[in-house]
Amino acid sequence: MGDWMTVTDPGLSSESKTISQYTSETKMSPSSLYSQQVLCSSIPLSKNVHSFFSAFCTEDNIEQSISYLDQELTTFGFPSLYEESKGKETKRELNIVAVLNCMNELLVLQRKNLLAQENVETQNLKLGSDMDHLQSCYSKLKEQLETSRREMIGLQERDRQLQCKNRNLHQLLKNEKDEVQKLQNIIASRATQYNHDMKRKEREYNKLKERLHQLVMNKKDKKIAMDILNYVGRADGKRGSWRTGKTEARNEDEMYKILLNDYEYRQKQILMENAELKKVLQQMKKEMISLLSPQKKKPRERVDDSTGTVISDVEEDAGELSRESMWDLSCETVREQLTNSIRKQWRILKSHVEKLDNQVSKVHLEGFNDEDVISRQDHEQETEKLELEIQQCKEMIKTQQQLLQQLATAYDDDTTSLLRDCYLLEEKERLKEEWSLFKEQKKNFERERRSFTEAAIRLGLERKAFEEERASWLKQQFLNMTTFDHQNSENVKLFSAFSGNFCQTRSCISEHSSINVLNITAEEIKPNQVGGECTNQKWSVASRPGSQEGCYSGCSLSYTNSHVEKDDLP
Amino acid sequence: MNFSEVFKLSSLLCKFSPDGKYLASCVQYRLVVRDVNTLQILQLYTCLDQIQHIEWSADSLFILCAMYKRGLVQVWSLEQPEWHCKIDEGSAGLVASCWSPDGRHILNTTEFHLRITVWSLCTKSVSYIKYPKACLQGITFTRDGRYMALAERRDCKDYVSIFVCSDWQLLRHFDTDTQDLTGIEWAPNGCVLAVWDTCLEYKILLYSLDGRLLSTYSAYEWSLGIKSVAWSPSSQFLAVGSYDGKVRILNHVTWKMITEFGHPAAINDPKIVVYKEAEKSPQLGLGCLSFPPPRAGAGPLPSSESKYEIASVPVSLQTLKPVTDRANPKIGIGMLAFSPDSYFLATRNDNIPNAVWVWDIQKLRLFAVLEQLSPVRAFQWDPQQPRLAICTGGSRLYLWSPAGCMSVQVPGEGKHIPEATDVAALLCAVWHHTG
Repeated sequence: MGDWMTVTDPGLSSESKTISQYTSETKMSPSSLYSQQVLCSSIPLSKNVHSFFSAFCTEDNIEQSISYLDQELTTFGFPSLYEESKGKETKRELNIVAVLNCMNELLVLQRKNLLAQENVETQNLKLGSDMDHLQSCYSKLKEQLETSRREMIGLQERDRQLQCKNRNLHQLLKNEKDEVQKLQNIIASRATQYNHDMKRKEREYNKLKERLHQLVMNKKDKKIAMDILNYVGRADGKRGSWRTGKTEARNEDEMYKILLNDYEYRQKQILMENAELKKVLQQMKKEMISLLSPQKKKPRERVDDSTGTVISDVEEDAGELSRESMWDLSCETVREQLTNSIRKQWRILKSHVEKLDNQVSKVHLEGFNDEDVISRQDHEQETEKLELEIQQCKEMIKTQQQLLQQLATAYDDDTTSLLRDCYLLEEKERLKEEWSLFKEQKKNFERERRSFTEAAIRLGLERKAFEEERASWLKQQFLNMTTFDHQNSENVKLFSAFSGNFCQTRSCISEHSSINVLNITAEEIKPNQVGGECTNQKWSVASRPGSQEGCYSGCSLSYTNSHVEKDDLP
Repeated sequence: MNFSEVFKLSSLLCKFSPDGKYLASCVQYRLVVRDVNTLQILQLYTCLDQIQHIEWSADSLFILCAMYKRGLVQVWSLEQPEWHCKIDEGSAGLVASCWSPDGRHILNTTEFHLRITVWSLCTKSVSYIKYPKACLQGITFTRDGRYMALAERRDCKDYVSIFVCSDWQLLRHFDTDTQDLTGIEWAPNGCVLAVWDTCLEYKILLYSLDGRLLSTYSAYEWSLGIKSVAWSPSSQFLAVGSYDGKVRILNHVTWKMITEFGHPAAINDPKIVVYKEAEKSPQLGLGCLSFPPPRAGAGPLPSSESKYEIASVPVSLQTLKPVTDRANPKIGIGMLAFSPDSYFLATRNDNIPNAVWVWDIQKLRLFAVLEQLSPVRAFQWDPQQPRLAICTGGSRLYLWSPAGCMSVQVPGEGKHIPEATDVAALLCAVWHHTG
């Protein structure tokens, strides 16, 4: 195409330039102009086709252009435009057929080229967009790389710091451990030092003790003795025995017997415990088996290992059960067998329970069995009800407690006063009774007193009469007697009178001996006796101690008739 | 519960006879023997000096009175009041005195623990045991009275000698792997001897009757170790209380620890019952009203009463901060006692001196906690039932049983039980009265 350009007219230079620009710059121009170029390149061809073609061949140079075209075409491999020449110098005629064929060929070529160009351009476009995309990716990745690098650096920094800290802490720990070790060493050394010192002091002390002991033993202190009245028999009543080899052996035997008894006893206990535990284990095993064995009749979907093992186990255990008696032996193998079988059963049971749990949780999630849900709700309701009840009960208890406390505090004050009142009432009642008794007795005493006074009056009268008689008798006597002294006769009279009187009164009193108290008032008797008294009379009639609860105070009447009335005896 | 009249005691030397018929008490230098039921004085003995220690013989026929200052021991017979026996240690001095289980020998420990003299009442013979160890619990007799174990120390090494009590023959003599033995105790079945080391080292060794070492146990090193040890009456368990506030229970089959009980100051488990003693405000109770009113000065006012309240969990108990630079700090488990049926274990953590902890051994967990108003001085189980009596030095006595607990006023003319040093005897007295 380069040759093509050099021949063109300068008049077409602008278009050609543009075209050349377009065509020459196709390789270099950026992708954005590609589409325009394609369009531009195709359009100017169609528009300027006439002017372009008229510029090459004019009416003047037809032969030249034909020959030129022929040369060009033949170089390109097209057949010649001229007809085959008959002679050497004759003008070749234009082979129109060849020309038309060449034109067609050229057109075809042109189309092919256009297609190819289109393809190339689309490919170009694609490549351009790919390139753009790749570049953007590249820039993004670059950014990412940068950020990650920065992060890494930051993390590395942190890691370094933490490691530093870690190292510091390790160091501290080591220091502390060293210190602890050091202190322990110090303690140990001090302990040894202390022990050594203690031992030294103890040796000294022992030496002193030995010395003292020697002194004490050597002194043969007569004071160190036992002074006992008589020997006491042994506690078990036997005689004492000498210490011989036999006794030593016997003691040893006894000691070993005691030890052996103790061990045997303990062993028995342990055996019993063992047997019980074994029984328990066997029972557990049986129960576990029975729990698990019904499972194998359930839906066969779950042909798990568990059922398989259960079956196998049951078969095994059937055989083992027959050897139950062997289990009483406590040899290793039997023990191991038992523990292993128990463990196996337990594992099976555990897995079974886990499965059940899973089932339950699944069911709960799916919301399948409404029954369960409802029952749970019921359960919750029940628990709520129970909680309410509990609260109510608690409140009730609290109130009751408060009431009790109140009562207790109130109780004390009230009841003390109440009881005091009760006491007072009691006392009052008692007092009333006693008062009534007292009154009765008082009445009785009044009566007796009256009778007594009457008796006294009678007595007084009698006495008066008696006195008068006596006076008359004495007068007679006195008149009869002449030799006696006046005083003596008086004394005798007095004495005889007194004694006689006293006897009389005594008899009177003895008559009224039933009466407790003699209440003879001086006023009552005086006027009666004024006339006839001639003696001093001291009456002390003590009451007998018949006191009744202090109603009657013990009254001791001392009746005195102080005045001596000189008798105007004749 | 009835209380007898209070009678005068001197330094709380008061012991019941093993057969439960007599009560011996001493006042200064007189020994008074009373009948348990009527408290009438049956015998009155006079000793030569102030009595420091009295002990009944196992058959309740003799009483020994020890006068440490004079170095004298006088023995009195209950059957024959005119029988007398006087043992004079003279210049050897006397530090401790006890009966042998057959009731016919007296073991006197001379001053400085130089030797132990065994005086026989049957034959007037004397035996000497050299090098006894001066420790808290150096002599222990088996329950059936056949054997006596004695801790010895020669050449800075600890030994244990086992004697046959019937003829005082040395049965076994072996050394123990301890630094400084602090105590030995027979198991109630008489076949195992527990030997434990000083509190500076946690070590407890178990020897069989014939001197073989069965096992050793050490929970930890370096810290203060064992403070108290108790066997369960069935010999199945050995409880070891230590200064770290924990009790570790060893079982008799493997001699390994089966559980450890901690004593924290805060209790959170709602299954545990916590009894708190609370003062009741003094009210005139019904019994105090007297009618007719008493004469002036007839009696004292009733002292304030106390009762138990159940505290709701969580409960925090009163703790005592121990002085760190003194010896014998008040931390750790100082008191341990098993109930007679081995179902319960009562403990006291010296850090929390007001509380008594009761553990259920069947279930191996804490059962109840009792918190008193004043520090607990002593507690003792009823010899027949699972009942616990607690004394805190006040005028009250506290009783606990699985059913509940109560506080009882001891009539003592308003005085407090003074300086209850021998409270164990007092509590034994209580159980004798009621149980």
